[in-house]
Amino acid sequence: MNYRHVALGIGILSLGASLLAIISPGLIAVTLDQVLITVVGGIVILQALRVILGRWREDRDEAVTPDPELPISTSPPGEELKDELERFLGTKRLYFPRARLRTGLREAAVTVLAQYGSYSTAEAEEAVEAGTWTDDIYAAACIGGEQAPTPPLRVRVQNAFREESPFERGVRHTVDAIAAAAGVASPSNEDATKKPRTQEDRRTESSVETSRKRSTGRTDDTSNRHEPKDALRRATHSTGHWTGVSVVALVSIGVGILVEQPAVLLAGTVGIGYAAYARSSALPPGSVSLSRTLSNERPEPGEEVEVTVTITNDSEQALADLRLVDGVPESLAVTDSSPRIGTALRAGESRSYTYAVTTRRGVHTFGPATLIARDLTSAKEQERRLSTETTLTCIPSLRAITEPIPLRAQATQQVGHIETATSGDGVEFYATREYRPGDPMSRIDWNRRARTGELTTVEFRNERSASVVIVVDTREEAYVSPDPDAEHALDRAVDAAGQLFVTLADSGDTVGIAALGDNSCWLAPGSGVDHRDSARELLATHPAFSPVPKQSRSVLIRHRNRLRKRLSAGTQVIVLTPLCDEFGSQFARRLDERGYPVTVISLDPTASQTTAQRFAQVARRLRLTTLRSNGIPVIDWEWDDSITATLARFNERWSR
Amino acid sequence: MNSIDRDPAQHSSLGAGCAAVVAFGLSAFYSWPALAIGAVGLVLVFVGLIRGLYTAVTVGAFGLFVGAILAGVQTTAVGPILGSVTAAVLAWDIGTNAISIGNQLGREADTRRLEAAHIAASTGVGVITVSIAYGLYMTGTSDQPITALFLLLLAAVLLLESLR
Repeated sequence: MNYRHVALGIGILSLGASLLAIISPGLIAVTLDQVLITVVGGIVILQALRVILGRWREDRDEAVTPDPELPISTSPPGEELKDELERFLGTKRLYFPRARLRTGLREAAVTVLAQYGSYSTAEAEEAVEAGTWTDDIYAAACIGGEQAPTPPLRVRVQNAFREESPFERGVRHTVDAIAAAAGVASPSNEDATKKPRTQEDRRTESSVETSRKRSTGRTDDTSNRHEPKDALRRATHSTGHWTGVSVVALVSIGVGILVEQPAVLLAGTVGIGYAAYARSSALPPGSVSLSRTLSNERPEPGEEVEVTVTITNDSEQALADLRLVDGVPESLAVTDSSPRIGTALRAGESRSYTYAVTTRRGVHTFGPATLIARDLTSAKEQERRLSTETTLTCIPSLRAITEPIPLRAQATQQVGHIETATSGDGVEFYATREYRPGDPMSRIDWNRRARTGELTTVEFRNERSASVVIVVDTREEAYVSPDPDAEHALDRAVDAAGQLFVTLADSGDTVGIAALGDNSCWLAPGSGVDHRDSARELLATHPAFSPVPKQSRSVLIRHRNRLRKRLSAGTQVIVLTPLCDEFGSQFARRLDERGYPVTVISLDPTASQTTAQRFAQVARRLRLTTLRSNGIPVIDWEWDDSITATLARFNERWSR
Repeated sequence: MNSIDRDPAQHSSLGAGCAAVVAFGLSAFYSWPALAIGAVGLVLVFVGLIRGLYTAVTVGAFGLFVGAILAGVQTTAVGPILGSVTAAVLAWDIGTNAISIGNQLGREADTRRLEAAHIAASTGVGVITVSIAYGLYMTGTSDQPITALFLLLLAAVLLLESLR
């Protein structure tokens, strides 16, 4: 404050002096000697250095825009090896990360060898200890005991020069050996221990950006409903665009006075001009409105929808610098052009632009658009939210599949397609028995009567319908995919659930739908056209099936119990889960134990790029085996296959 | 589309590049140090504009400005030096604005109008200031000492700094 007052005083003084000097040149010239000029020049240059330093320290303060146009990206299961190993460690408490890894891997190797190899558990433990379980010398050494073979010294010295540390190498070889023993072998190389650069980087990068973008885009979306239409997100503040422009004036004047060159001194006016321009900056309190139209509000999935955004300057003043990012729903990806625009609008003027999004299943609500308004000089900036309600709804039609769905042999009393082991009114021949008085004439085997004279009655197989509930695993863990750009497992599971629903309903079963992870998502088994419509609506629009991964963890045990209470006795359950953690398989086992016949359909979202991902494959394979050994049919659905092809293969294998 | 192209805005980059070349061209041939420092500044501005680096553009434009001042020390040609300093400031302003637009809106967005308004305004300010300075220089007579000009400019700087 003091500095300013002094500067103001000296400024006014020198202004007066300069005027005096212009009016009567002789008066001042004598009083300014060379020493004084040098001192003043030096002070001015020092001040210039101060401004430069200030500029150096001060960063620009600009708004960061959200990135709503990016598609959702999901990663394959198996992020960290230590997390995957958790289940093998059980209650063991080990604090050293390496010891944890080693012990976990050892336990995993024993489990896999006992499961898929020709070992008992005790033998497997011995084999692992002695290192005889695998031909891979690194793997044997990594988790083996003292007698286990170690790589020869020469090789170890050679390896010391590699990028991969010996421990990493050992872990990688061990996971490979375990994978080979479990039958999910695929070759790996040194790069496997590294994080997958492309994916991982993008994911972390996007997660940083995501947290930022989601925080501006979606989470606020809900809170924003109560805010006024035109909410100010950040009040007018300086961007720092012109910070330090006075250096031009100070350096020119300082140097100019020292060397007494008019050209340099006059260059100071340029600096003064721009400094004054930057100071003159004032952001008008203009009001801007936004409207949005869609080319189609209820498109089919995969269709491109054109979004036209119109931005209007409602104020009396021109707005020179408007930067707009539309609130594209998180679930939709922009496929053509950009949802952003930078423009200047005169009073009352409006401007439109168009971009295209590709539709996918669900209800997609456009969030508020982010508007960054600046003044002409770019020195001041303000951030606003412009809300306008737009919703895009995409409810895919449900298609039936041609393959019969393998259900378990437990049926209701309704006539249907499940072949029971009892005789009754069906179409398929079941057995013949001795005629009993009262049997209908049409059931008598007249051929036999003609041949032998005996009276026998033909019985047909009793065919009954089932009551089925399709449970989709919708927890956060189900949002996985082998490739970050691919459709994630949940989307495919929901799609498959729709197909299963229609196919089962067509064959006369009563079908219901539930989500594992969300309490409120429950459609009791039923039949009829209305029921079908509500299922279609539920699968497309219920928040549990939202294509955007949920952030919050729900209390799952309570949900599971609630779901179990809703199932009436004898209901068949089809569980759609990627089986990437213990919960899905536990849920299936618990239900089965309680007497609900469970069939698990599991889409395989695993990848094999990193050691952890390869281990996740092994863990998933083990879960499948455990479920099957408990008598639960598990249909392993390969990522690249369709559900129809998978069911066809399953049916073929089991009909043989 | 998996990522957003955040390169600096096209038209502004071009404008800033041109301004930098003008700043260099007007001052570089008056002295060797001006040529050297100006060339480094020019390269830095270009690198900053291509890679989207604020610091490179700022330091580069400062280099161009220092080059212009060094040239001004060795010459009495007022016009080219005024032009060179103005162009250096324009290269800085338009260049950093291009990077800012690139960061906030990306390359794919339509930003022509925004850029045009900014470039026109900044260039206008430059033209007006240079005209005033040049007019001051031309109307001034030799008996008005350089001291008067110095005091006037100093007063302007101090008043600007204090009346924020």
